Amino acid sequence: MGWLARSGAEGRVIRVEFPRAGLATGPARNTAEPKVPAVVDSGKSIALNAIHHSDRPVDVEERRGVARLIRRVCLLREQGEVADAEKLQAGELARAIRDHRLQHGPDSLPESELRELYVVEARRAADALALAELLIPQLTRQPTAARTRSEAVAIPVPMPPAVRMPEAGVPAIPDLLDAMLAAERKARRPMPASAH
Amino acid sequence: MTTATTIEKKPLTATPNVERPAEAAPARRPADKKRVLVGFDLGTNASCVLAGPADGRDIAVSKVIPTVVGYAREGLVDGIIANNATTLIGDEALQHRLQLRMVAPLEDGIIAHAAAARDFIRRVRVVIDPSGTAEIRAVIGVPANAGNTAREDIRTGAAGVFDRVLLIPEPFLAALGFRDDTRLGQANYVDPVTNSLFIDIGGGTSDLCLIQGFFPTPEDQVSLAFAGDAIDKLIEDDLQRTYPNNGLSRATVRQIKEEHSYVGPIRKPIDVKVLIGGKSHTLELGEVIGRACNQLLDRIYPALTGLIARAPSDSVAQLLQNIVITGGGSRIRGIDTVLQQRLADEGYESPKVRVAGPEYKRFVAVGALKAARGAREDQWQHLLA
Ligand SMILES: Nc1ncnc2c1ncn2[C@@H]1O[C@H](COP(=O)(O)OP(=O)(O)OP(=O)(O)O)[C@@H](O)[C@H]1O
Repeated sequence: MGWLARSGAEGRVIRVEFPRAGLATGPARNTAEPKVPAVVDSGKSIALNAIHHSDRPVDVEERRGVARLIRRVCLLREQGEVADAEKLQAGELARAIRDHRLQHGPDSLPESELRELYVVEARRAADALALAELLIPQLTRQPTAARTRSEAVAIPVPMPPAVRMPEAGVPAIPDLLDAMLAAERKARRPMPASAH
Repeated sequence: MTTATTIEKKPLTATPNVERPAEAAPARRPADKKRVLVGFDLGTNASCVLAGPADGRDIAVSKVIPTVVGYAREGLVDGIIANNATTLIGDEALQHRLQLRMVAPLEDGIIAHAAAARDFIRRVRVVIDPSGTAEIRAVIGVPANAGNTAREDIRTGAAGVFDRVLLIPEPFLAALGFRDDTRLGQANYVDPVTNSLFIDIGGGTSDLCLIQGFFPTPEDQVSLAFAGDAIDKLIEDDLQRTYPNNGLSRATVRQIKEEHSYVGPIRKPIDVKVLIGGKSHTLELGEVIGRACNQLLDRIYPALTGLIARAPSDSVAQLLQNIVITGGGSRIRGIDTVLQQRLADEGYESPKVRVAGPEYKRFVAVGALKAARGAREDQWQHLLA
């Protein structure tokens, strides 16, 4: 499933895809069954037929979590890391949507809302990268202008590209530090004013 | 739930102690100097410093130092303070507090008084390397939600004192320090760096942080402005209501709390001897203390489950085995078992909650020294004074 969205910065058209509703990544729901306890991935045992409907107000924080995941998917796509984007979309994002619906009822987070989220986040990712492309050369050309403190300057030593955390096994300290430093560099990247 | 916000602050322009520059600045060091690695937990109330050579596992210096700087008051008589020192830190400063103007360089985990912080760090260096000739590389813990300005303030304080630094989030270092390296790779050992949830209950804040093998982002943490100080206040207010004008100081209340703190079902009687109006009285404080401490648990619990829900689903089962409580609040009796029971009662699969133990003050520095020993040459940052 997918559709086209227009990137704000350059008017580029990009294809975005999203997980289908109720993807069978978790235990199947069977409303006809009597109350059966089942373990879902959030670590809790819950009765499956008790979770279709929730009277709780929609959990804003959970929705933000889904939006954040969609943002990451869009950012990965924008950076050309399509395989990683797909992995995130089929794994963590699909589970987040599933868990949300298990919690708040099958009609929560409807497809139309997801589609909107994708369009918004795809645009933000494109804007952010476009702006970073423009600003980073300027900032690196004039390091002193961007500096606010005169007492000390941390000189970042050129570093090898960020190393991904190994899926299994014990991560070595230099790899952990690489990941940390890469995340720091990413966090320092300027974001467009609209990206809130 | 209060998601941790980045601790941002205005750059420090006021330098309250410039009139008293530190007198122990290290001399410039030759190129063939000995290298010393340092793990440094620069804390609000207490700092911990561990230092040792780059190779091996030796620790040459291991100290917990109250994070306070004392400046000699004008007109102080010669000989009152050893060597007529004008700037002291830690216990030495506390011992001479009547003769000194005391400054706490940090507030809420970040530098609030730049000059005092710098003086503190300079004197810590003297503890590590009295000759002032070694090359010092320090890994320094920073609150995970510290903003760029707060980080820059630490770099500024360390510039010209340490040769190279690396700033790493404290919860991450705590996990690294807590990691039992001898058990790494064992099938039944879950590495806290790879998958754990740390709950640090301090004086001002309780900080919960999800650690899953990488640098925790602001979304991986929750910071609650409810911790030890808030419990003191609840107990104090309760006592004030029941025994108005009791004259018990906050320090006494804190002492009572630390001696009798517990969570879970109300325990009675807890008889505590206090002096009120110059006379000795025995008060039964079982309910007062229990109620106050249980409030902490009631605040932490939703934040904890909120973070568990954030973890990728296939990591949750293991994560539930690795919930670690640290900070002074981890000394509250029963906090691990009651929290664990509450999780189990709510259906979480076989949760295991542990307390870090009496060495909790050192874990960040232990992790920092491990990180220093593991860091690659290109990962260190140079500092220019
Ligand atoms: N046995 C105990 N029972 C209850 N509380 C205790 C006990 N021991 C210490 N505390 C409390 O722990 C708090 C201090 O914890 P800690 O030393 O971790 O704080 P900190 O790191 O300096 O503070 P912060 O993290 O807010 O900067 C104080 O409120 C203290 O009263």
